[in-house]
Amino acid sequence: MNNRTYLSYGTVILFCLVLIASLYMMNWYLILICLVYGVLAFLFYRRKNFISVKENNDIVFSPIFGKVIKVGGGADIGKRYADFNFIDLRHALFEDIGIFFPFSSEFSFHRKIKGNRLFLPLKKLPKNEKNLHQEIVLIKESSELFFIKLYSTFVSSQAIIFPTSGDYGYLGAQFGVFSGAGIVRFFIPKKYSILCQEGQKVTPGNNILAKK
Amino acid sequence: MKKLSLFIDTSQCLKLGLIDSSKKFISFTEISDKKCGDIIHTEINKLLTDQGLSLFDLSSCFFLMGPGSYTGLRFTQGIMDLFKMENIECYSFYWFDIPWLLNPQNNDKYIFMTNAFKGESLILWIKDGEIEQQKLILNKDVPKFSETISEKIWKIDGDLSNAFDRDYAQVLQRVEDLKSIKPIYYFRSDIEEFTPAL
Repeated sequence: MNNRTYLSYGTVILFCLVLIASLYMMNWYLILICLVYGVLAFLFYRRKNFISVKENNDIVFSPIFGKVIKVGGGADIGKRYADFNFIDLRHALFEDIGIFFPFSSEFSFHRKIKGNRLFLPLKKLPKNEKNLHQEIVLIKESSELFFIKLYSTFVSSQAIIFPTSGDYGYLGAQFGVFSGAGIVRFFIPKKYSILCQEGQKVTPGNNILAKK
Repeated sequence: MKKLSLFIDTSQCLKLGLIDSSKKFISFTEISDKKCGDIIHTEINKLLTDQGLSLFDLSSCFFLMGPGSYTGLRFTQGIMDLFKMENIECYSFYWFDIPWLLNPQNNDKYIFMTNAFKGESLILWIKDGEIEQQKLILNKDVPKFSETISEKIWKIDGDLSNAFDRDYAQVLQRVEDLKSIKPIYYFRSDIEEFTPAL
């Protein structure tokens, strides 16, 4: 399951139902559509396997292809994040635009925070949390909470998130797209030690950001 | 017909969520850079129309009744009254109810602390979901106070928000089961609210 793009259960069930219905009715147009859909799903659902490390409950991988631009303590951002460290990642402009599960976890929910967009070029994010961004809340099996904040800039589009609340994703499964040098702020509980440095290039499922 | 609910919290900034029948958020919007009163109606409408819904498709609405911004909570009260007139089921709870809602069997006393504006902080002692004692102290005295107590302190901009993010479905389900309806929690009496801080 590690090398798959996120597809909701609804989509898979709908596909199966349409296929069964079309076979039952022997509608060749529908069967043809299902075949095309199946081929496309196979091509895109089965991603190139970039996971090089075996999953371990204590390890946190990068959620995007990009570069670490800042590492810091959550208390600098707000009291709410006092028990977290954060890693700011800039999305690599010409790399895969996906956002991937950094570990197998429950997708709790995602919220849109409305505000002003950031201006580029930026060396680091402002402390102000009022900029336009999206926040994803992930819950690990051990009930640990992780936050991923996605800041779109003037040259990047708003992130598109696929899962719905309560869905479960495996390590490396793609759950959204985020293009154009956007900035990702990843909050990790303080019991994890940060293993990356500023300036380091990271890839999902390959580079370990933090370890318990 | 899906059983959908709305979640409204204006105690800190405007937070709106659309909830499905399993009490999971379908969508959630937070706006902190604009005045609540300027945008609350349009944002509720936008949240619903984005999902192809109207106000009449809602079966219930959950309100967070504070403690928090006096003006923000007044808007919550107004919207709640409006929904009641449209026969939408309304449920409400407080921030400090959350630890008890999540763990009703736990009889341990806990402390809730939040910024009460005007240079003061509100401190509540909660046991079995009821307020045992309440106190307003100056913000400068908070570190000294924190050292003197042994109970767990819950703060909105800390553990409490994180607990809600983790287990909001459980909280909302329990509020619905209890048919909880609470009045707005004000830090002070109306007369004191109209008096500027020294």
